[in-house]
Amino acid sequence: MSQKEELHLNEQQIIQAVVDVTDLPFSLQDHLNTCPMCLAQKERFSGLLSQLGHKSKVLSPTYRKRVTLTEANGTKSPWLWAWNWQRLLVAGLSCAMVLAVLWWASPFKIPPEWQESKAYYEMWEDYRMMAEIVWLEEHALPQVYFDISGESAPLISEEFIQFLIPHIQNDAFHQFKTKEVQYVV
Amino acid sequence: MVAILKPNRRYNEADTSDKEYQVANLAKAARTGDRESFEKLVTLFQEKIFQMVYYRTFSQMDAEDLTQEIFLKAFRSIQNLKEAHYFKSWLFSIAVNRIRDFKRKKQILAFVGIDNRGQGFEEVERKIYDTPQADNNLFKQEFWECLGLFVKKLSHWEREVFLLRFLDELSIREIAQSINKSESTVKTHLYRAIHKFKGDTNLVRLLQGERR
Repeated sequence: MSQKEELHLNEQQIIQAVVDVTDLPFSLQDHLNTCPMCLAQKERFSGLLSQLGHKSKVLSPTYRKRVTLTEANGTKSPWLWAWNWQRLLVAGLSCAMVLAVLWWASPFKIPPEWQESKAYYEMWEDYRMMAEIVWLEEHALPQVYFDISGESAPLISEEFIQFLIPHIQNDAFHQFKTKEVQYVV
Repeated sequence: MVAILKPNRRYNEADTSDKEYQVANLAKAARTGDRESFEKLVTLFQEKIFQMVYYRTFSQMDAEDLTQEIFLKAFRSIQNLKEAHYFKSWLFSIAVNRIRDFKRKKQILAFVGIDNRGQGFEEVERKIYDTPQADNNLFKQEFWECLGLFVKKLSHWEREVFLLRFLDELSIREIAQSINKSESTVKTHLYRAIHKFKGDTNLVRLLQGERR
């Protein structure tokens, strides 16, 4: 009797028997089959776990809908597909990679000779602009001053000015004055 | 008590093997593109999958949506099922993965602040108090609360294995196939989970009290 008592399954062995009775050593399996105390203990514990499963089933709500397989035929909206952020991220990264590759090996890049001619054109543009600035500096007065001064009048030429105000060396008075001076001397 | 249980168990085993045979035949037909067979499989498993999802999300709406998604995924990839008699394990593995994805997504959304709905039992609790039979639902509330608290004490794999074994009633072999682990690993996790269950006096008392 005392030997039988020693052989009773402990708590760990009972749990092991609940998990899988075949995992117990044969001696303990034999004992479990013959000892009503150990068997009852094991059944009580298994019953408790079964009760847990049963209660969960009873207390959980019932499935109100019915599964439909319509979406599997391709009726799912493409926007729903796109809404998945992971897919959006992957799509964005793919686009960025494609653009980078296209930029790297672009056939539309500006060739170096075009770049040289562009530089020459820019230089000419600068020169033209500087000339314009110089002209503006030189002709800073408004037109009315030029009109008064007569510079802009087409009829007032150098010859006409000469006629109005003859050159001092060709002047008769000047010649007379010089003769008079000579006489005095 | 034991003597009464044994004949029932034998009857259930025979019933189960018949059902397994039927499921395997339907899965074989569904694999060749027979939509009707797949619809029969849906009828057989939709309640089970719904409950399985509910035990892990505690939200009826989420469980319904996920059940729909799980079956759609299964329908799309039924050709990938190699062994027809593993249909149940295969379906549960899809469900386990889908629930894991769902929870991960929910965690990210909650972290970002987009989804700040209460996780776990808050939602269940609110629903219970909102129903007209609030008194009758007190036990329901207590049960789910106790179960939720117990489940939180378990590690990821302990929880998964425990729920698959005792709430979803899968065999060790089926669990191993569903979570892609060896049977000995499953047993180890199960052993640890049961040990913790035994230590959870609240849940054990609740179950014992109900049995009396």
